[in-house]
Amino acid sequence: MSFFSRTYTFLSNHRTGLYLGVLFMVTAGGILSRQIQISENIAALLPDDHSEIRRAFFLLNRMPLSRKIVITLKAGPKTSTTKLLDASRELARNLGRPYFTRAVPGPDLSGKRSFFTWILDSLPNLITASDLKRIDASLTPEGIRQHLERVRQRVLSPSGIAEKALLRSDPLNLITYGLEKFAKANPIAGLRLSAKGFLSKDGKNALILADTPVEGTDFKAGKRLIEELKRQIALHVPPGIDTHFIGVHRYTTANAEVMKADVWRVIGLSTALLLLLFLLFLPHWRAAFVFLVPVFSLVVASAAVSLAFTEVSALTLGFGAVLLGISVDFGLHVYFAVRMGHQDPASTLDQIARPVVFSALTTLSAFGVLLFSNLPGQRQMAVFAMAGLVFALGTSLVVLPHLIKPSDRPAGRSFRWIRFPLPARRKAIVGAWTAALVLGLLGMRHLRFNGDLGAINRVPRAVLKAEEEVEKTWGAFRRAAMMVCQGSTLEKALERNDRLFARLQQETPVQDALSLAPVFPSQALQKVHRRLWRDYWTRGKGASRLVALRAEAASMGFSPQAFKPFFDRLRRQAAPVTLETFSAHGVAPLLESLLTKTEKGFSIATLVPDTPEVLKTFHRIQKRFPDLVLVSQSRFREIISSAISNDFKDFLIRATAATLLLAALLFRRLKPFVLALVPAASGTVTLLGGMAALGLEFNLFNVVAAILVMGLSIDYGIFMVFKLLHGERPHTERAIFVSGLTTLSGFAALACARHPALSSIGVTVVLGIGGAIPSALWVVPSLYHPPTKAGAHGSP
Amino acid sequence: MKNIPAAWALVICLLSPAPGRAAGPPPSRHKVLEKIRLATAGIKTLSGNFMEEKRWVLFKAPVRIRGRFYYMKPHRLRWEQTTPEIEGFAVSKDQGIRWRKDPSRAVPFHMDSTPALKHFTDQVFAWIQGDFTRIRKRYRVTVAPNLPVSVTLTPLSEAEKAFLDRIVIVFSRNLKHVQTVHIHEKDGDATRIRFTGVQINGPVDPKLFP
Repeated sequence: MSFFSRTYTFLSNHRTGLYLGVLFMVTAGGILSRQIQISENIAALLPDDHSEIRRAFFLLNRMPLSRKIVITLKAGPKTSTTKLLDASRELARNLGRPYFTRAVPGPDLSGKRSFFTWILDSLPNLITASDLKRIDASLTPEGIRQHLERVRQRVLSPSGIAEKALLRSDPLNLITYGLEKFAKANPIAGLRLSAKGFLSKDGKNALILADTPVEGTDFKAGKRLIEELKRQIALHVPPGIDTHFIGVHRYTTANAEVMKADVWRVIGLSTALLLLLFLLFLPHWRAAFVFLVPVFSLVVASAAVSLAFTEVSALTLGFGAVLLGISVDFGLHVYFAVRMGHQDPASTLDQIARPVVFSALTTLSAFGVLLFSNLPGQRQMAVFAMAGLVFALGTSLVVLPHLIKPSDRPAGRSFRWIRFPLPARRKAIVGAWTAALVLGLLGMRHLRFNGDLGAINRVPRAVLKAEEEVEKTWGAFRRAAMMVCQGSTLEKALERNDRLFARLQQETPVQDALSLAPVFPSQALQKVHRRLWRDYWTRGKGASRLVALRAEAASMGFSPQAFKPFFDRLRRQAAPVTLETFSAHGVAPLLESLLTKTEKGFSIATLVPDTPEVLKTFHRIQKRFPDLVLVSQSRFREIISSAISNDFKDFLIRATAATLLLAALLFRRLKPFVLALVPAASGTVTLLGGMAALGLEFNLFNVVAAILVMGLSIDYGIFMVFKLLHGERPHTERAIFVSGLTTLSGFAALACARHPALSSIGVTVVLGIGGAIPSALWVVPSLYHPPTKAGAHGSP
Repeated sequence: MKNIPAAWALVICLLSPAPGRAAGPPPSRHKVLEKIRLATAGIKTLSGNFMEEKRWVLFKAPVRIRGRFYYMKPHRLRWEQTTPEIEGFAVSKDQGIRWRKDPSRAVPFHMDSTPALKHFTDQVFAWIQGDFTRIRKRYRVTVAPNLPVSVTLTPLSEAEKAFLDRIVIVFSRNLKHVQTVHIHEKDGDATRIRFTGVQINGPVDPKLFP
């Protein structure tokens, strides 16, 4: 007698206690699972070790531009620019705490004269040696004359009185060198500064950049933030102006809502399909107990995962549908065996326990591999699935036999048609299977790995449209890559940024990098610039240019006092450019878009095009800048793709090794061992080949799917080979077929999910199991039975 | 922009209609301004010549500028300098054109990209409509009702006070048009603008504006 048959005999006299014990566990599990904190955090799908992926993702989320909420107000045909800017300011003014820390509709240039004066005052800090060469080249006698003619023309123009002070301070138009630097540091290409706000070049769009304390991955607060923003837009933006906004919260919320809806949709659909299958194939009231096995397993698995993790990914719960489909398999095998066993359930358990336990162990070992994943989401799935499977196995073998009575009458439909066909068709079956396998193997070569997390995100049309609008109007600043310098102090970060900028000027693909360096050099470099400036105007060529300026001005009718403010400024000691001076002159938003204060100091981003050429440049210069980090969507995709590919290979090897070991332990002979692997091999090849044929890409969710297929398919092989080895067991095909259908129903429900990640798992497992079931039912017997044993499986 | 009082004064002069000959005791400031407001209500077009004389520290000798202006209700203005250099601009609401030397090669611009000019034209249109309430937000307005009537604008904001002392607008004896505008700056720079040949509600070609 086996352990399970002895347990059965013992518990036959303590059934009430047994049932109460199960009910207690399920009730406790239900109470625990109510405490689950569901998280839609995409970080669960990323490695939580100290890998480059993690660091890149962290930086990607910490960079100022990626954290901002970008709000665009678009003027209709009858809306003036003034009205548009008024609406923009009014909306920005009303975006306050707790959802917004600040909303900037534009730089505060109310004292624009002061802004220009500040740039002029700051020139000695910003003008480089090469700038001085350019300045000197423009100060030929003819150049000086042209400058003075421009001054004369502008002061005599209708608005000349407004410009007089500035022109007296800057007759040589040196301010253009400063403005050029500010243009180089402006990350939003489509922007033009208006005194009243950020405006698009066509004057039809206004921009608000809003900061929020709400984490981009916080679904609940993100949802409230979006609702508040919509409310404020409705209150403060008049008709005739369209408003759209974009930010990481929109993606998080959209994904989370779809996922949440999917969880219930998928579980509901798979439960309904499962019920339908039960009604079709197990039309007896006692079959309801089989149905309860996966339902109870789901509750216990949820409780287990809530105990193991503080937050549970919604994806893990979405996986519940899958668990429903898998965990019912053990119950089905027990049900068919006991019901059709024509003997005492204890004796039936002696026969069935070994293959059931081994099939559970193979599935558990496949999921066990996922416990070693670097992805928290995959580890959660492993705990969830393993807890559910262990509970399902226990209840199927320990509790279920007490609830099912053997019957003389065959239950449900005839299963004659699924039995092994006439041996005459053996060659045809093996031939077709071989051809399918070869095709699948050939197709696998075309399968592509895709690490783009965006590709497995559910992005609503409205969000996509808003993203397109933002890019069309303001440029692709949200897609730019960033080279990030870091420093424990601002000065150290600025110094590294200076060096990086100087290096990038020598690299063709990144010459036009958007950097803070031109407008905010380190204090050390500012000091160097000031010395160069002073030397040029007092001892260098600049001194003689000033003499020429005075002479030319006099000849053109300007008075000796005309440009006194200019000469006075040249003599003055320039105050350095600091964080405070940026704020004082209303241009802090420019600074904040590239500079971030972090826990470890400061990080400064330089925006570069996200292209392969820039990536190559990064690799080339990285040797000189060991702390430099490239934060790039395309590089992130590349790293993830590579990691998924490597992980998949690792998982495949480990899962294969574990299942092979278990199968070898069970059969201990080569032929049955190999035969038991046929469904697993067929399922995996069908999955991978099918995906390639359908043009689907292999993402990180398919890793789970592939392992699942392997674990489940080998179960079918084990049961089938057991049946072939141990003689007539009419319930085996029936159990394999129905359990295959229940598994398929779970995954078919998952395939119907709206979220690409969930549906991706569903589609791939349906492909794999779809290949494994026929190979278990028909290919394994074909390969096992010699042709001479014709008719051995001819009747039910 | 805050520092375009010359242009403002100019516009004030151009667009302030003559209040008519005064009789008896001098009317109060309010009554004079009200007369101006009522008179401006009927203005549909304005045109005329101007001569501007700048006595600025920038130049060794006074500089004289001559030209013509055109206005058409409600938001159109054209300003042409003919000497010493040809230069000017024309606006219709938010859209504008400007030129140097050759008006046929004017380039378009958006008023939001030229805040100084936008502010100038906004004030012009306020004056055309006799909107003294708006003007009083930025200037203290005093009226000398004795003939010739003059209106003095003194800036209220500290920023404007820093460079502008006052603007004095002098009307002709018959109060039918502005005769002269004096702009006095803090640094001693002074600008005087005289208007001649001002025509109210005369024909103005709409093609002069963008």
